[in-house]
Amino acid sequence: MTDILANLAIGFGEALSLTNLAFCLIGVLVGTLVGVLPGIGPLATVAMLLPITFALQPVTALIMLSGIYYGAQYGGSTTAILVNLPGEASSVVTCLDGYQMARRGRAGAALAVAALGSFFAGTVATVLIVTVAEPMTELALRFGPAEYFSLMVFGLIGAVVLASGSVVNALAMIVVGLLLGLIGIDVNSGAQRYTFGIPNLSDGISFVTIALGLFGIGDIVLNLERGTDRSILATRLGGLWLTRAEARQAAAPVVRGTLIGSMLGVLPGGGAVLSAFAAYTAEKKLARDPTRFGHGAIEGVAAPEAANNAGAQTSFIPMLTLGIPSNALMALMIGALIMHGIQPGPQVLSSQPTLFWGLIASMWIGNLMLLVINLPLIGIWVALLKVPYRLLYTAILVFSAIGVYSIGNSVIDVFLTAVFGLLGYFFLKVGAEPAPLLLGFVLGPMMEENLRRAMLISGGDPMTFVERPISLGLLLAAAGLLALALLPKLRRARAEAFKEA
Amino acid sequence: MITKRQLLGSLVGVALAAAAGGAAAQSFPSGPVKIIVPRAPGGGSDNITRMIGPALEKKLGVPVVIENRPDATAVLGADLVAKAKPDGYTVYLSDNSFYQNPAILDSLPYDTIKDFTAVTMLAQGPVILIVHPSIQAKTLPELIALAKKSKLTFASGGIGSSTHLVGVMLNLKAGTSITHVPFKSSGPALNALLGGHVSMQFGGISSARPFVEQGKVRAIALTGDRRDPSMPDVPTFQEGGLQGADVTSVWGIHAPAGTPLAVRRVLRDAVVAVMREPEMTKTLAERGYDIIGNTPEEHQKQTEALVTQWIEVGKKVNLKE
Repeated sequence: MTDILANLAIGFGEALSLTNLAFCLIGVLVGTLVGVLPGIGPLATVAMLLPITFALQPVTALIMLSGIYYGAQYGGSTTAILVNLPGEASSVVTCLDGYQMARRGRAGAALAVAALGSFFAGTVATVLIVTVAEPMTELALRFGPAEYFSLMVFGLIGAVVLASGSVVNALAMIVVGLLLGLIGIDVNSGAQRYTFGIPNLSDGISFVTIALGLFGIGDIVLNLERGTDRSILATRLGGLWLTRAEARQAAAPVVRGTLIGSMLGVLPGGGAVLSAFAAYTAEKKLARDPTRFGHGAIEGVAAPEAANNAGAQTSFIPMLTLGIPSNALMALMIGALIMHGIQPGPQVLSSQPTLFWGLIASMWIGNLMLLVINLPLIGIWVALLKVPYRLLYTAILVFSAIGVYSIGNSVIDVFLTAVFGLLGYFFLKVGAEPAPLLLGFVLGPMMEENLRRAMLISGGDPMTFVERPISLGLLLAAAGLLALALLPKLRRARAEAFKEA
Repeated sequence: MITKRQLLGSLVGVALAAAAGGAAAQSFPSGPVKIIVPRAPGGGSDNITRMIGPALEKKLGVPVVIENRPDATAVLGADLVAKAKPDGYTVYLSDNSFYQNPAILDSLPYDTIKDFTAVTMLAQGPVILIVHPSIQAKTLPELIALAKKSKLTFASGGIGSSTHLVGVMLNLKAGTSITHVPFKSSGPALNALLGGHVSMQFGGISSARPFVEQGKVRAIALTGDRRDPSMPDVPTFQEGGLQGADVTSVWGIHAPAGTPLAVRRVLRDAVVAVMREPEMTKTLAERGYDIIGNTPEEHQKQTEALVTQWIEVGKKVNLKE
């Protein structure tokens, strides 16, 4: 314990230097900005800023670059809540209830709970990195292809449960998502699948293209068609802060979301996305009245926001302790370290203590800065909703187009976004939910890859999924979730039992 | 039959083209140079480009723009360069996929030899074979013997990458049938090895070194003609008695076909000068990049040889597994 305190003292000593504070602030500001602009993600930003950091001390460079990363998580939720645009995979879930809250005039409360929840999660995740980084890395290493496959199964079953409408509907959307996810070059054979000879499709459709189209553009088309009544937004903007009741409702979900996010964030790949979805599913399962979800339940914003921020932060654990990137952004961070002459790996902690602890301390400071910056900004963000819709939606369309173009510098992506916008409009018209589709799209390819890897390793023996304890546990949990979803009678019976008790 | 006028015309044409080439080289570069990297930020191909980018900018005196056009087989970015104006302002960072694609993919939207012209081979890097400590083999012969008796698996950074093809060559030359388990990049592959989910992995030395030093994985052999100064204890595949399995990671620069030689020389000289700066040489070595920097002519021959070599290998063995 004293060790940890001593280490933290080193860290804060480093992070609180004037230069490091300044670059931390620059990082979170830039991050918030790119997070707010749809499509322009932290990955591209960090890649572009990387050469600039060569002139800086390694710790300062890393502090700024990580600031961009978690700053973008904050910014991404802002557009998700205000205009239904998920900038990042992890803020898709925030759209579900956050945007509904905004429509009911509670945009301020949604933004506040997102900021406070994220700050709480960031604090807990920082403490976790300090105390249990090593055992968590060990846990992550025990996840082989079989375990990942079972985790994806669990995630997809969770998506079925997550849907507020019919189970059949959700299943259908997941399958559509899985099919879309298959487009591109097959990792196992290098074969082109469903690309119709179009080179731009060889690497699959980008997530942002689908998410912006289905959520953002689809919603705009529908709003224009029915000439949405924006008087609610314009008149009932009062109450920027959380009410006492809302705060009470949100507290427990924030804590649960933080726990889920911290655990899943350590896993490479879909960690941050899965954690947001998992946190939302958990809240919906635990809620007395799950029908409120999708219509502006504050728990539906609080839990996934806490989860994705916790996940974003714990995804540094494998990078810092093993030198293994859990996503493309962490790979860039590793590149930055190497360019500064530091070989990432288990020895960083002992050979570069000021760098290691300084970075961790700066994360907490950065989160505090984000809170201080974002809370006063809420008023300004919400005021944006007063902008006449004809101006607002054209601006959204322009920024979306720029953002989508900038991902792969490709015009085809912009056209694809338009196509998905129409599809999103169609889904809204027929009452199909796009969230399970997106989860299927993200998890499907990972599930397939890991299924095939697991089968290659086991020599074609499917028993590998039940022989391995972690995998078996995940599959059992998935079966349990499915049972809950398929047996509405059970739920009703339980509700009645509660009533009588 | 060729008339005098036609002959004269074509001669004038050649002379004009040569003059234009010379003039272009004198004024080159007068605008931003764009390097298309066919991989996502953070990978080996992106890293080397971003390391030399800022210094190259200073050397050339014009902005150097690094544009990532990532896809699994690096075809998109190459196609873009193949169809770009051959003026030296758009060049391609070619990695192993560029040389190997003709042997691996059924069709390409461009011709690897005819649509490109070489600038220089920037660098190469050895591929290291590491095994999980639970594998009862300390040398390459022991590992090959073990692979013949039991079922082993190897992880790679993806179909068609150098880390995959060393495995293919090992199976081919040693007569083993170690199962290939492809990952999307070398990072997750290393993860799977550390967790003991696969028996062995082919990867880059800079990422493997810390784990070898800590005893979390065991180094068996590396590709190349000589041992690597950063890991002097690790023998080469040839020392381990296996000839012809040497696939190294390579990073070159190619320009669209028709780019004047004089322009390519300007680019090559600038890049080589940048890489030879002591500080840069040191950083590149630490990262596992072994500088080559040959001339455009040499690199052109090398490109043709590599492409032919892989097409020959592709006839003997299925490169898609």
